Amino acid sequence: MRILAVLAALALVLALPFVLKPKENLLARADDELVIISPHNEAIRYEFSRAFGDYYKAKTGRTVRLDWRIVGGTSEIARYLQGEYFNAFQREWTSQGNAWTKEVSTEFFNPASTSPAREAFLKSNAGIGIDLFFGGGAFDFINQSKLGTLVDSGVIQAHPDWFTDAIIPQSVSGEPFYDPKGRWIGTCLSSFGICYNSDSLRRLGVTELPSSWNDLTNPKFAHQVALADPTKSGSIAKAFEMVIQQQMQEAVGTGEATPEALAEGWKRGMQLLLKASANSRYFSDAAGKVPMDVSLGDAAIGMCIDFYGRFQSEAVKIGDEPSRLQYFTPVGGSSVGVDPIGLLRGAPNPEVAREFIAFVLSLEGQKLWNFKIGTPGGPTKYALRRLPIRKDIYTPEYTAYRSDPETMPYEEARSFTYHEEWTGALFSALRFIMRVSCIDSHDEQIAAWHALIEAGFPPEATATFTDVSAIDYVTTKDVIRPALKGSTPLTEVQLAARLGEQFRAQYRKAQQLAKEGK
Amino acid sequence: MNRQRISYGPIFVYAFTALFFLLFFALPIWETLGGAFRQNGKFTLDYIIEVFRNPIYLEGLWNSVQMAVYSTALTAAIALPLALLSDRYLFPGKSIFSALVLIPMILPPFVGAIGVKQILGQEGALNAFLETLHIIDPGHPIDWLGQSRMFGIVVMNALHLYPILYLNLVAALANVDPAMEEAAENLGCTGFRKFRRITLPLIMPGFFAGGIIVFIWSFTELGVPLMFDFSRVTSVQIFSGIKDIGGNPFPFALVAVMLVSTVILYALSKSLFGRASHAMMAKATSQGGPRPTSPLGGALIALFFAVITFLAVLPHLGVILVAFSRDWYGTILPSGWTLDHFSAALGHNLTLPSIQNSLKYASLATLVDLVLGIAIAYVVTRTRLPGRQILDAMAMLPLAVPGLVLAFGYLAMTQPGKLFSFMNPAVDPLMILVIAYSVRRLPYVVRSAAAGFQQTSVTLEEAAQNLGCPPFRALRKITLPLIAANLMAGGLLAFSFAMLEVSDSLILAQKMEDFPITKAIYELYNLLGDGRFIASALGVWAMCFLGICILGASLILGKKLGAIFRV
Repeated sequence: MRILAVLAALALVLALPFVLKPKENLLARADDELVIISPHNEAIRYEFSRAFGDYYKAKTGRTVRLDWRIVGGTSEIARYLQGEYFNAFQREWTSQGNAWTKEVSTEFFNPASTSPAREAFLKSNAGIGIDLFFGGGAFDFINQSKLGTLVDSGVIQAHPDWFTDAIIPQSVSGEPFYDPKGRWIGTCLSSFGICYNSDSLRRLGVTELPSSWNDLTNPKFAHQVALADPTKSGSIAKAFEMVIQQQMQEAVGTGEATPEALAEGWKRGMQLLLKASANSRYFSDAAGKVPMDVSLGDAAIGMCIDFYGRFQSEAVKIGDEPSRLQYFTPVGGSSVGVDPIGLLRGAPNPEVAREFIAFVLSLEGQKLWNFKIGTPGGPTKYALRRLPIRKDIYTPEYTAYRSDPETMPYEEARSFTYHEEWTGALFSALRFIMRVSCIDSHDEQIAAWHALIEAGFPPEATATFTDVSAIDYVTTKDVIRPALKGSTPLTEVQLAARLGEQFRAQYRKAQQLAKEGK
Repeated sequence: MNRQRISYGPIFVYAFTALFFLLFFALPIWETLGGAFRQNGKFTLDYIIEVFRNPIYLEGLWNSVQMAVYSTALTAAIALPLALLSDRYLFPGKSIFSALVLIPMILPPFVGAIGVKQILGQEGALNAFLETLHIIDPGHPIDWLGQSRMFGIVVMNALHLYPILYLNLVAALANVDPAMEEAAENLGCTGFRKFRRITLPLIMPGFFAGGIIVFIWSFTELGVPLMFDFSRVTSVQIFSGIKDIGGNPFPFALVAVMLVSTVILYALSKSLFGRASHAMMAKATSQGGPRPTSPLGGALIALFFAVITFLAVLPHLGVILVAFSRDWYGTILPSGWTLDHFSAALGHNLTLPSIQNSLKYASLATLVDLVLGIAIAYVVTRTRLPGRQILDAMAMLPLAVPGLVLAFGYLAMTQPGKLFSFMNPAVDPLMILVIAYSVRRLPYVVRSAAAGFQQTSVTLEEAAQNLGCPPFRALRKITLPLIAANLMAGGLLAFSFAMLEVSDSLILAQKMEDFPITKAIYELYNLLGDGRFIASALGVWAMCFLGICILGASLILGKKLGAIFRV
């Protein structure tokens, strides 16, 4: 009897997914195939699989199946591509009777190399069985282009009318939107901003609504800030760079960008990041964690990607009340970047791949990013809430169909101009600095910060805490960057240990001073 | 069976298992970790030395050791009384509580954290409850996850892991010949002294088997410290190092250090606790077994079980309530209810194939584990082959290797052109996933089987052999049925954890039609907006399925299990 009851329960549980099984099967075999490696979520994959399938069928009369390869986030994808191409080229190289030496194995993947192996790789059709890399930040695509894993898809030549300032500009406010050589093209836009929980603000006694990055340093937010981890994602590192650039811009003002002004701006930016980090609970590598935690009140305020913030805000909204989760992009504090697509070297289905890129960039494909569910040409199951790259989607005729009709990213982008020459070369150094001064030293930093708050920010302790002379603009440019460039992995770790220990000592001292009331 | 071949049996088993480990454990680790031992093409230990020079990595290692020691101690403090009470006494609801004991372990990944946060968050259920009772001020909720993090991690580990120790202890206690204790009593040794001098030494193999898994598990635990944002422990340091876009091989040196530390800690605990094993001959010489209790005593025991079980399943309750809720924020219970998340989760086009895949991968992996586990345990406990201790330690190591490291290793060794290219996961991940799952879950089966072998006297087999039964048949006919309970416990754990496996599944199952259920949960979890509700709903389905499997197994086999030990 008991056994029967158990078997019946088991049968019931197993039957449920069969009963609720969806009617259409997007995984079914088809005439043609397209293999895509992507960090995009299931909503985006679903809508593009469905819409492209219909489009392809209408255009060619053939069915197509999108085979998405999901290996994790962008850092896993980068590692995966590197490993796979290493093997692919090794096979190709040795099959031509060449010896696979240590030199070949390091040189062929080195963008700076001019060795025969490197040239052979760039000419080769060594493939990994995947056609497209879709999604991530421009940072990842620029990197892959440099390595040589991405090739020109030819879509820019095929559709020259799209690549104009009126539709897809080459760059906006200093950010590249596509690779002039055609190896990657932006498909939608994103930026970083701040989300906060209005209930938590009320509870913490913060009466003035946050409006800039500086608000993350408010001591009332001690242990209530959620930050994204700049060491695990290129786009997040970029957002940190923008925080610093904004301070540099303010230091420069309308005057000339003198080295002193830039150094002063860098210093202010660093101090801002140090304090925000001291307020923070964690540095998260999961894009969705910050808006989720803030909407649940586990953190009061945080730094997040625009569409995550907007989406989560709407998701926790109840009735007509304003949502407890609010999102904004700090004016003049964030640049607009792109989520690109690119053709991989040795793609097995290049024709279908080109067709897909063109579809994503066409008006039909672009509508999927931001149209509401069920609108003409819009998604059928998930509202994606992303911002399309094509300017002609932001025209009044589509306003009624868009999920975010008020958001005009091209207008927002005007309030900020990215100065490549100020910090572009320091991109890796910045990540390194954030790691040693904040992430690796987080416990000591937080302890010191709490001591400072308790003691009411006594001057000597505060000055010790905010001393960024070890990572100032000149030191970063002239010492840290060259050291990192010429370093082996081991010396880099040693440098991190040395600088990190310096910061931890500094924080311990600040804590001590604060306790003494100095 | 051919007599000639059989005498070589143990050597063959030994060679085969060693080869399996070499190919599917050592090789993938070397594929990934190799970079930490190479500089400019030469072998180097500089990275390893650097780990010990670096204050934050040393602190991380020390914190990991502390985490493991405290978690194991607390786990023992929970599991030992539970196991003793359950072995000695009859009390109301005993069969239910014994069946429920594994449930705390079946917490699906990703959504487990949702459940915990929903309860312990600043606007979570616990604070809402305390506010309703006017114990805390709504303006100053307690930040449970942000304060005394080590304490929180230890409690969470213990409540999550005590079933492992409990199961091993119950199996060990069941193997204790009541005549031994009766003899002790006859000689005037009673009460705690009897427990310390007689019972504890007799159940030591089971205690060690469960304890070492708990110890290594909490030493390398990643999810719980991450939940508490406690970043200065080795597992989290490795995790963030591997995810760093800089691609420095240094984190792999940390992995190597962690591996070696695990071996040392394992050897240390084995020499301290694992040596003395007392095999018992007789199984059924007296009328032992649980005694009825007074009503009050029975109620107290039941209450003790109920409180521990309730605390341990709080995260599960959190997940279940999230799966049914429209919104849950700042209140004790969700503020609205719905079934929509279940139809969205189970009706998703990833779900059904992923369930089928998981069942396939996990059952095959469990089968592999049982065969390998019995073989390794046999070699270790029943033969005197040189180097068997190495095999024993090796079988424990999979617990100490971060899933990501092995997963990247498997990926590398199955590339086209490599030795195992025929297992390439981009073509069909079945073989490599089954191997990956089984390697990572092998320790449970090896430990349970070894504990069984140690407690069952070899003389029983020898008697059979004397009567003309070939060794293999003697093992199959005599010893294996005697240790069925141990195998069952190990196999169930292996199966459940294989169903809930994360790292290998995320990296190696790349095509949607090959996704196991954990990856489907992860994909749903990443949906914006409703993602956490839908993922929780699928997580609830997985919990139901595994829960029924485990309840069913213990109900169906419950009587038989008992019968094996005391007819």
